[in-house]
Amino acid sequence: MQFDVSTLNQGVVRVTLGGRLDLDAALKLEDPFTFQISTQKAPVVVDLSAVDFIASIAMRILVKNAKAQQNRGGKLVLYKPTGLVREALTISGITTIIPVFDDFEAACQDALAGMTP
Amino acid sequence: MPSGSRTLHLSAAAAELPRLAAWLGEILTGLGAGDRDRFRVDLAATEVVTNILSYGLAGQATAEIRLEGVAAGGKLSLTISDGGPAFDPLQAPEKVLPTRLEDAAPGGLGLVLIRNYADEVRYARVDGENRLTLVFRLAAPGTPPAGPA
Repeated sequence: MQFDVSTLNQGVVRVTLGGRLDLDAALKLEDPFTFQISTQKAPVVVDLSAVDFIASIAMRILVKNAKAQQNRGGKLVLYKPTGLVREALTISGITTIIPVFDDFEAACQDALAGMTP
Repeated sequence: MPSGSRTLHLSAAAAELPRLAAWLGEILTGLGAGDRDRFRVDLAATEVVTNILSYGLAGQATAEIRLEGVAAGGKLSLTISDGGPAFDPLQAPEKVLPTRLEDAAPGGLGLVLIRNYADEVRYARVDGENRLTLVFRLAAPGTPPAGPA
């Protein structure tokens, strides 16, 4: 499981996840993810392009942090899930409630535009 | 497609999930399954085992989860057995998926995925065990991948 966080131009926080996001990974990921992503208001782009498996427990972390950002006036969006991961996110209704982009610049702009005072 | 039966015994611990993935991977490779079939079998089985680890056998790391895979006639049947309290996921109400982020509530997505990805789901309570059987009709090797159910 890969988990990297970097801050880009205009304060966009890029979270890169990779590998297999199952229960084992989710248990290791949840606290660091929440600590780094949701303790302050930010435009957040979660890069899923290197994720090859995502279980519901990991989707729950994405939803929880997207809600936390929304509540703070920030915004979390998803970038480039692969076809099979995107299908699982669609079946679970995640793509209905969290925006998904295939263009990184568009993802950043949406996250920035979604910031509220 | 080769036929046969394979069995896997897991301890009720999240750290065992890689063994599940590896076991399923071997079976699916042996059956010549394509990427989408590999993904959906893996995800549905992982969701079932995750539910058992999180609820039925939570905190009982020495308890056992048993999986039996049977391949025949282009289908793969996986029966997942555990000795936790009786739980028939088929009786659980269908989760209503939210249309707005603020309405999202945790829980229930595992069952959504299991119901969508398995072609058939059967439950039985036998000898004090939950036995959940997932049946997957596998695409013939070389068949273009199907879309979402």
